[in-house]
Amino acid sequence: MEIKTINKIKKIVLYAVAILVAILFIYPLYILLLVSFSPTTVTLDKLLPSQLPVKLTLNNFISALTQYNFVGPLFKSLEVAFMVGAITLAIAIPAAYGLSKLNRRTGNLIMVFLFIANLVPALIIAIPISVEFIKAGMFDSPLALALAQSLFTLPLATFILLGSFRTIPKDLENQARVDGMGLFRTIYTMLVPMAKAGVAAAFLLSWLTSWDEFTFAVILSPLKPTLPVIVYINITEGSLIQAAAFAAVVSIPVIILTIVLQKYIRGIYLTGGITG
Amino acid sequence: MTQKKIKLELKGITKFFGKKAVIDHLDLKVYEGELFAILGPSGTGKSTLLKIIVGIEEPDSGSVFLDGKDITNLPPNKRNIAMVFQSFALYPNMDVYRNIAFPLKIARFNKADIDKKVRSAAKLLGISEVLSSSVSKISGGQKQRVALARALVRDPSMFLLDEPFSNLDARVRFTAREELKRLQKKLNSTFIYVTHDQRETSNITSRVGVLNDGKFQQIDSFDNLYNFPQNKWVGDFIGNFPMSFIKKSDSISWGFRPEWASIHRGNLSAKLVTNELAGDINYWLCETKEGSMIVLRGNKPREVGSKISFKLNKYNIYKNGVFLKQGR
Amino acid sequence: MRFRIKRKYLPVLLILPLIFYLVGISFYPALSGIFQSFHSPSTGKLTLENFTALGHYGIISAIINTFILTAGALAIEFTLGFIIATLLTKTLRGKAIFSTIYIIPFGIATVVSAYTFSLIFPAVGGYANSFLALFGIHAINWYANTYMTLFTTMLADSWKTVPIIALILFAGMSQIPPEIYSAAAVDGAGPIRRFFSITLPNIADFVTIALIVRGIAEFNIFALPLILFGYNPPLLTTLTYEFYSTSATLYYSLSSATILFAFVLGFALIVVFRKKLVGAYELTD
Repeated sequence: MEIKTINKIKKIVLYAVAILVAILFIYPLYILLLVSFSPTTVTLDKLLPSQLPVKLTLNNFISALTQYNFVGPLFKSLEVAFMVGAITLAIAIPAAYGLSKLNRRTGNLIMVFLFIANLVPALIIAIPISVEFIKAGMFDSPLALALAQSLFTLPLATFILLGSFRTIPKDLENQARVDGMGLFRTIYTMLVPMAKAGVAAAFLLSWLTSWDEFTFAVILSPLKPTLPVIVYINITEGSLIQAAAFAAVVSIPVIILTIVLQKYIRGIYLTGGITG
Repeated sequence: MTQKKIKLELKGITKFFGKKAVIDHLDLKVYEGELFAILGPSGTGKSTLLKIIVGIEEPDSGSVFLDGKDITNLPPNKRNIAMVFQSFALYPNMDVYRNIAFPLKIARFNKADIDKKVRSAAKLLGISEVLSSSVSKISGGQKQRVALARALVRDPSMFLLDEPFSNLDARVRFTAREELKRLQKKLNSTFIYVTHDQRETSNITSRVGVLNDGKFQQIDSFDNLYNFPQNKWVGDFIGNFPMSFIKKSDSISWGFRPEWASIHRGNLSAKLVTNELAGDINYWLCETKEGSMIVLRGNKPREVGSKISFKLNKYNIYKNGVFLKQGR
Repeated sequence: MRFRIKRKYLPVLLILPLIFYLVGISFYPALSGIFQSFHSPSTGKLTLENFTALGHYGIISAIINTFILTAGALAIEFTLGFIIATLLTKTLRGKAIFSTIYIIPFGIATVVSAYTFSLIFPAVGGYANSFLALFGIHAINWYANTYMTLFTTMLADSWKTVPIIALILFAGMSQIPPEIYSAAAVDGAGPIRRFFSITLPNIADFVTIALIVRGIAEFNIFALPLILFGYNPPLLTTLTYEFYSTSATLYYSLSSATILFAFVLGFALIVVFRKKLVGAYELTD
């Protein structure tokens, strides 16, 4: 009887904590949506705004879309994000395959070296390369930004792909060699399709990283900004309500991707994926 | 094996894994039309040896000759040697038909030829009815046949099989051995297969190479491996029990199998340590005066510690652990 | 012979583009930036003047603030991270929903999270204060002084970063065999005792990883302070950016970034080798 009561109390406390933490985690997102979908009269204009929705409106989105160049940053963000995904896969797939051929120790050692590249602060890379890009006429170009952002995504993507390639039985590849399949054909028509979950995760995580990235974006592409930079510019200009609309737009694909990628987000960070 | 033409020859093959030579100056000749088994404990480089023959692994030194031609530097697909991997290595993204057709597709055969070859291989191996199945939906025995079919459509000049029976259910294993032998006879082709289980070599092969420490310890028929092991290691490895040895002098010892000894009024004796029943035969594991373990065969268990007298009808004489001659 | 060489070095050849890429776009620019920061902008000679000049621009307080922010944020984030990781190890109904909720902030862009927290913690009023007002608590000035500002930043930062820490710690905890806990419970160890003498020592490696991942990111915290309170109080990152975007020369921003890099490197080395540093004491035990 006594133990039963104690266990019951324990259970109640457990659920109370779980729910409380969940509310704390949802709250900022709720505020963001509340501000984006409410007229400023009940949100920003008030010293102590209501916690609950009073009036709902789509006007913030409409004004953000009409008064600001929305399409430009959106396309820039999309363009850069897809480029980052593509660059990352183009370099990471052969590299991960190569690493999977080395013995495990050497492979892991090189992996650690790659993650060290993520340790270098973005600022100390961004400033010197901004100078180089200006010289090369690549300042503000999507490719330049994508090349820089891929620095963050490459080690992670390589690591995910390495894990996927290592799970493919070696005999299959040997068989393909005996059957006369060339190396690149083996990689791209056999290994990549078999590792498709890992390839997709590597691509989407790279995409996501670029979509969210700020430091490189603000330094390397301030004049033709990406969405995160336009949010920042709106804030510094005091257009807070447009910033809310943009922020909501930035967040929607991200929330979906995060839920889809839950499993991979778990795996990667364990071994030291370090993003800025 | 009448004309004894050499199909495959390995000369001085050495392969290092790190600092350890898994294969150490190994020589081998395999004859045309032979079913040859490579037998050895796990981790002795048996699979590595096959991979060197097929060209997936490169030897650190030594040469591989096929039909008298040096193929050491040829890539695997130019060697025309087929290999069936232990896991069968069926491409999971293709159905049975496409798996078998794959090597032909790579070699750019036309569709009609491919179809003809795939269907005749499938018929030969009795898998015609599963051609459109997914490879994940067929049984282990069928997987093996698919792998064999895929190997033979190319008309390879010889076949390598890595642990062909280890991924099969115990019940299928018996018939699979016989089938392999029949297939080899029918194709009249050279087969080399690797196994760690001596039961998989005893009744189907022409010769067995016993591999240990990077070298063939003995290459012989299974009967000879059992009756005339060339050294103590082979004697220990082959047979249900290690060969029993009795020390005669510093360099000379006698080796014998349980059935070579008779248990009455012998001039030799040993103390029973434990009884072991294998099937309906009882074995006595005994200790001799010198402290070596020997195995004798008897009709029923006896009390542990009792003295057993026996005499040897037949024995091998070993000098410094190497076979010298047969005694008596 | 050609075939032999090709095949053997192929893996290395395939990895090389990645290595060149990282060296070319990361290590080389970083090193050249560091190299430049030690040179005079006017004469090109080796000098420390870029660093000494930073003294006039509040570099010392930027360093101190960065340290306070890093330490405080890590403390808050690890506390919350342990709570969530522990929750995830328990059997809960609807656990999938809880864990999804706990992970969502991870994906939110830093800029968005910074903006959202600028709504919750604005200079005056805002959602946090309106919430407190429901309980009759007076409005708080979240930026009353440097420490208050840094504390607010820590709170805002932890939203986005706790999920990662929680997931790493959870992964560590789920590797501990449950029998150990049962044995400890039978031995009469209470929950706090179990945490310190079983959980913590058994997930030391995971704590190291979490410390490195988050600690380095915390030193580099940039968008959040920039949006929440701008350049004052200064941090190493915001100061660097201020030099970059406002001053005529890049050299100050480079030397400031070099200092940041030195601290990041130092931090990573201490975390990785802390066992060896502590080892000397443990031996005398």
